[in-house]
Amino acid sequence: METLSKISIEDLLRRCSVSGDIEAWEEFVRRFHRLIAKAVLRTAARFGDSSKGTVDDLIQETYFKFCSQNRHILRNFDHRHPGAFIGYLKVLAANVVRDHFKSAYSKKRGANQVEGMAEGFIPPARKDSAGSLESIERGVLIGEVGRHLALFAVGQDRERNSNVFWLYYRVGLSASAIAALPGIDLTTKGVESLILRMTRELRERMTAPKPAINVSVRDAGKGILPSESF
Amino acid sequence: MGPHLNDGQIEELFRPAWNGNAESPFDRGALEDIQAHLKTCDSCRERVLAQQRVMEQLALLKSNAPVSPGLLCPPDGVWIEVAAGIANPDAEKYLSHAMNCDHCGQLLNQAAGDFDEELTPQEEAQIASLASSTTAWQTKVAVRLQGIQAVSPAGSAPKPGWSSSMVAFLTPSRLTLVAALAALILLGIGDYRLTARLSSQSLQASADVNRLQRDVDLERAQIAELTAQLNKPAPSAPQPVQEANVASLTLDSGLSRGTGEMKRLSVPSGAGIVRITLHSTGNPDGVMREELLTVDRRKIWSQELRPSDAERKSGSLTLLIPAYLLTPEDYLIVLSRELPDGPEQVATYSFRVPR
Repeated sequence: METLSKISIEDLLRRCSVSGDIEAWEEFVRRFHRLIAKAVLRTAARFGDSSKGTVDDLIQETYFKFCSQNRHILRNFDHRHPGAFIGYLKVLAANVVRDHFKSAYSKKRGANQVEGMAEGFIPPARKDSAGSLESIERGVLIGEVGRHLALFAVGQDRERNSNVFWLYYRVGLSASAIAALPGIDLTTKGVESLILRMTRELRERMTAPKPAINVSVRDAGKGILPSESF
Repeated sequence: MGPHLNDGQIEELFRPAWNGNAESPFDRGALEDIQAHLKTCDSCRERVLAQQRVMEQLALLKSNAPVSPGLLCPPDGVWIEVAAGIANPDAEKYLSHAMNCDHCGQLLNQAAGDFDEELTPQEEAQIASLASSTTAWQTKVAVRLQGIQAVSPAGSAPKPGWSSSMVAFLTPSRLTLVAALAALILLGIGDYRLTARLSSQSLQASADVNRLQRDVDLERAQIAELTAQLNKPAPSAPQPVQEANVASLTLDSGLSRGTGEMKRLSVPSGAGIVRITLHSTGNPDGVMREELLTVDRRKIWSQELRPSDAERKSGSLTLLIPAYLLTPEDYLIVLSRELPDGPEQVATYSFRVPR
């Protein structure tokens, strides 16, 4: 176990793909348990059942997925980048939980059944539904922020920087979650620093006094003057 | 009142609200000075309030209300992959969509939250309290995982079309050279296959040895645990809870004929240990070995026994077996004595665990 704790994920998967290597499997379970448990616990909590029994069962089910189809995953995993397997593990664990609860709800409610709706039922409009005052105000705000952003998010990373801003403020992702996304290519510190700079710039622009529109009637050019109007 | 606040000082007032991790160039005293100045300077206060309003507006950019999916929204499962950082040719397209779609933005946020590295203290406690966080659980699962049969690593199969391309390559002038090369290649392939086969066999053999060693270690640990329980001093008061966790059976030697004669052992749910007392063991002495087998002679459990004085006198032996091993089936117990020239079978017992 001493030596196995230091071997690469690639080598560990290779050893686990051969049946009978108990030490490799012990190391596999030990190394990835926390990651799997975390993903399972959080996803299960979102579905409303994070009891110990359920979480333990789903963790076990996740491990057994690696042995399905003759250990296909272990033998053929493509390690494209250092975090590839970790990312895959998270997705696998989350999908095991999702599938479990979808299946459970389907059985509970009856598969392929559609609930009826009373005749004349009119769903009440929500306060924040499309077309509500809040929604319109938010749309205007998004437009205004977008216009400012277009003015100062410039350069070759313009699109990436703008994405980081929206992912932070509109989607609500944390700096670490943004840094983990594909195509961002920044560390968490880098994302934090970028958001800091962009927010400062935006605050200054949005609070700057608007230039006064001081056009006299005489300079307004040809048009219909009030006295000439009907 | 002092001079007006500069940009850096105003910036500092907003830092804790959204980027508390960043290093602050201001100490506590300087921050108190800024707050004191704001109480007396209308101009700076107005400037700070204006920026505060912008920050409040930025907080409104995120939609928290549930939103229905639109026609262009990708399947929900996509967001788990994006949040996990899995490279996908469409990942950037999906991200652009999420930034403009509140439904997908919320799903992405949810998925990112599930994969966030930081654990809350409550989550830490929950994970620590799981059975799957114990070494015993993890070892048990590892044993089961390694036991699931996998195919041996695939050998290098010859690629289709190899012979036809070689034939096309051959011309009379190159025949001698090609024949020599072919001989060398064939020798190389033979050598490679032999090496690969030996390497695979070696890997398999070493894995088998490891597994057997692990089985032995596990058994030893379990025997030690059971023996420790058996040797515990008798408690002064009866302990019904512990006793309820033990299922007991007494057996006489000899194989049973027919289902009616076979002794039955009911293992109640929650039983952790099965205690089996074997009678007619002759003179149990020295090192005895017990093997628990199914009727088709599949070994379930074995252990070495050193009979106590009382057991030697009474001619009976008591075994402790983990209850989880005894699934509904018919079983044999083969008792043998370890002798210098090999084991000598002493007695055989049979029983049934009914459904």
